[in-house]
Amino acid sequence: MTKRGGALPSPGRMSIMKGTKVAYFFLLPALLYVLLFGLYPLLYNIFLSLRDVTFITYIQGTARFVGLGNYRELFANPIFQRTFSNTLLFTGLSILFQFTIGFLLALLFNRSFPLKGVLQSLIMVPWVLPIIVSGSFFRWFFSDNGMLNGFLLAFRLIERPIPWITSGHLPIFSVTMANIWLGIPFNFVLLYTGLQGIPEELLESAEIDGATGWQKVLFIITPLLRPVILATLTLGCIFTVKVFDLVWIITQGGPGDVSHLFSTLSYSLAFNKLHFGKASAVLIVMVLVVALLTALLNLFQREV
Amino acid sequence: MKRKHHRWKWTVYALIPTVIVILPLYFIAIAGFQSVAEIFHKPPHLFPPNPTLAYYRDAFVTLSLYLKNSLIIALGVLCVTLLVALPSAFALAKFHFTLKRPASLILAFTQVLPATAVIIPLFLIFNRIGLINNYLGVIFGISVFTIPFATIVLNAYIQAIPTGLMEAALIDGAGFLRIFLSIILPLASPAIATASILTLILAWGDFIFALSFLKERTLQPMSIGLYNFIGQYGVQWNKLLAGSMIFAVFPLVVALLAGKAIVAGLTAGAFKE
Amino acid sequence: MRWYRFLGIVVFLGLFLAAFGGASAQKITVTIQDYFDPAGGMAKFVDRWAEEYMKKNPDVEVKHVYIPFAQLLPTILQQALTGTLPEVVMADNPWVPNLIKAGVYLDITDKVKEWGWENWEDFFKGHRDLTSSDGRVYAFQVTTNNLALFYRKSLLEKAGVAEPPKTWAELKEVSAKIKEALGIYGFGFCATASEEGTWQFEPFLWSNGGSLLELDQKEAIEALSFLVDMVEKGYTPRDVVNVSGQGDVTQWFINGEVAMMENGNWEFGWHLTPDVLEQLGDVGVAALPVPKEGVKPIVPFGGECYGIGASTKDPKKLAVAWEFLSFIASTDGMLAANLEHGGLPTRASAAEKIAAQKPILAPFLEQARYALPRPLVGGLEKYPDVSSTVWTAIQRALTGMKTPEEALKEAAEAIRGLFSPEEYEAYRKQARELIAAAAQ
Repeated sequence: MTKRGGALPSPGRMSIMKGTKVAYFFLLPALLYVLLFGLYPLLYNIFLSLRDVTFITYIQGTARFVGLGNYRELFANPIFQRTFSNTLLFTGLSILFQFTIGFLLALLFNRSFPLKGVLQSLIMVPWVLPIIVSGSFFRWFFSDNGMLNGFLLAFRLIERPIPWITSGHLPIFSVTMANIWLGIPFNFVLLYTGLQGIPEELLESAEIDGATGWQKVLFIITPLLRPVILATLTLGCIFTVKVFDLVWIITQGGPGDVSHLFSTLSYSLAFNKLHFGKASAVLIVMVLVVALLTALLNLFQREV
Repeated sequence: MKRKHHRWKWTVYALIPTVIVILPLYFIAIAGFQSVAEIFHKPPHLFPPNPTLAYYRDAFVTLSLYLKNSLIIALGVLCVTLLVALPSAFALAKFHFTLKRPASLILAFTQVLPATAVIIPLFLIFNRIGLINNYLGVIFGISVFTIPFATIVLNAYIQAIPTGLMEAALIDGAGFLRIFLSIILPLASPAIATASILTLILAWGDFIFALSFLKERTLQPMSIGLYNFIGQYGVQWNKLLAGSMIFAVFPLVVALLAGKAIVAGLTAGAFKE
Repeated sequence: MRWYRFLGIVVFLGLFLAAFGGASAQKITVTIQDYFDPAGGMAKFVDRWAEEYMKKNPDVEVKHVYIPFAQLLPTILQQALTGTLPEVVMADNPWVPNLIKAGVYLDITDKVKEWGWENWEDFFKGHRDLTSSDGRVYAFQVTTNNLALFYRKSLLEKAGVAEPPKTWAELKEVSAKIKEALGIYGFGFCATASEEGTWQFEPFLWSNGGSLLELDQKEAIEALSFLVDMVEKGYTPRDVVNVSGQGDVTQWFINGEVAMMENGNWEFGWHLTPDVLEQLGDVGVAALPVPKEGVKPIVPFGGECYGIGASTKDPKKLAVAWEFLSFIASTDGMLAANLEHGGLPTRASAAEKIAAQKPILAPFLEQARYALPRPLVGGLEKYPDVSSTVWTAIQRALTGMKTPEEALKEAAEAIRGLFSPEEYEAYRKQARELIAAAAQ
């Protein structure tokens, strides 16, 4: 049939009753693993978030139960509110751009040409560099006397340095830009591999019928790529909401707490202020937000 | 011959975004050839003024002690992850069962907690079962994140494998295990290559699990080795950046090989009529 | 399919090795844990002690474990929680009061009495206050450092300035001249969102008579306004809020982008090593500028402490740990360690000896005599919280988000809210007493 071992457009499911037990058998190791090692930390954090935990009570295990007190304080706190909107903004913009750029690159690379292999592995660079290094690069890049301002000033596009990370409103956008760069390889690889699974004949026959490049993308590729796109977006959401190192290295959530995400705020509460209860509460809110996003995306999964 | 020239046009098109993406890499690479003062010079040097190999050499010597550990941990994580994720992805992709939706949601969510939140509770468990201060503890720790991730990725691709093949094999009397091994695995090889490379990169770059679960310098991987260059009073930027280049070589090479493997898997995996 | 098999074999080997990794020791193992750079003087000092000790005692294995600075406190927390503290625990001095309260350190008072109480009294008062509680000794501070004004003589000369500035007014004047004559920044300091930011603000605050627990007073507002003004006039780069640490400021200093900077004596072991000093040829150090003439510069002290981890029960391990501790806390041990490390000793006897050997440390040693222990003037176990409130206020003011007055009023209120009224009053008084004592 197809040389590329790819799919016919009719994926299906096994509905044989006998199959059900087998399915559980196959799924067992993952479920066990996840329940043991994934669920316990979650419960642990929920436990902490309901208590007023400080350094000493943490070590001696004598923290006082306060119910939803931590949560109430958080939602009333303007820094937390800002963090909430920051995280949504950061995630939304990052995914939008990372996905689009990754998709366009995957389409571009979906043909053979000289040096393709080399260029493809070079695109992985943002992801492969240790985050301490890429983070530090961006911190320097965005600084008042850094590369971006230097470039803009040299070409007379601006008159005075723009405070990318030394002002109140810009830092969140600057870290978003850095994060977009970081996420391109991930989106690229997943979408590219997905594209490989689309049989050439389909595209060729569409061409014969007179379809242009973009029409092929919209009406053939995208629908066939649906599971891959959903997986990419889901994972993208999860990873982006979680991003910690990058933002921490560039701004530490500052200046003055304006560029915090849930992850950095939680870390700062835990290890700078030693408020472990509140830190866990922030994390639980983060988990709920991701759960919501994931559930929404899950609705789009086609069930046959 | 006309075709060949036509092809180079695409190389040029692909070169533009690639260069933009790796621009930071250029500055990081040349930083390893300069002294720290030179790195901080304004305006930044476009070429190292007095290039020297001394820092790369120092960084390499320091980091080579940690190389073995990084390899063991990364490969261990890959093994555990694939062993657990492949069957799960198969089950989720091709079977109907009542707990399916909740199962996939649970898988998604357990990755949501950042590593810092997971470290202390996991440390408590692992300490009790003796997994601290050896490779297995770190491997299992990192796998908590890579397993759901790989499962989701593999699931998406396995869904695209035609069920017709499986049904035919069943009729022929093959068991599910056989189907899994002889049909699904080969056909999914591009996806397995992709999931593998992403898992390897995640494991290679892990820092927090290694730091928390390994007490001895002799067991620590390169990601921690890099922190040798970050003291409490400041950072030895030149060695750190040189070290990072060295650190990044392995995943880049794997990416290159995996790219080829994806293609090879596709042509080899073509099923015979 | 061939690559599959290869991968499978490699991976299997990997797991095989992994399962047998992590050797177990036959002899008794004692671990010394710290964040000192493995290539630096202090780490080498400790390694050497360990080597020599192991030669003399072949049944003991001494492990020196390095944990990066940013991770050390979380690691200690984790270890305390799980009862896996190493035998010798190092901590940055501001953490120590909290760690003592949390029971991380063993009470070593009796061992000190055995050793000789005069040893303890030889330590400077600030350090003794910090590492003891209710008359019981828990740790030793073995090295210290503080902040002073570094300046480039040649750059000052070129701008027509003969002497480094002594007062805030002079600092502004000199910076103005430097900006006009050379077009570079006059003064650099560190204002990151971390303890380093608060730390570098403290000299300005305390020398002016301000207190961390009363930030809405005019003394504190004046101090912050001074720094904000330096940034607004272009004498200090706004990037000070975003450097990765005090070390980056040194880079600007070395590159001639700032003519003066506020930094610490550790730089002599770090970026301003003898060969760099020779190359630059014009580096001088002076006491930090003060609000007006005749006032003493009051600085915080930095430095690290070593103590014995509370999980250490085995008397043999305890003995080894104490050997190390008493060595590095002895006059000669401390002197040798600090000479290699570039830090200041914390005992009067050792401080005298080092003054003779390294005259450039004179301003630091002078300031060290009355340097303040941060937690004791900043709410003791709530100091980390106080500190983060302070650095946030500093950043807000420096980036123009709020005026110094607004930022500090908010901070002061937040800080008052951390304590009960009695606690607050007690700490506030304690801070006032210590600041006043230092100012005399």
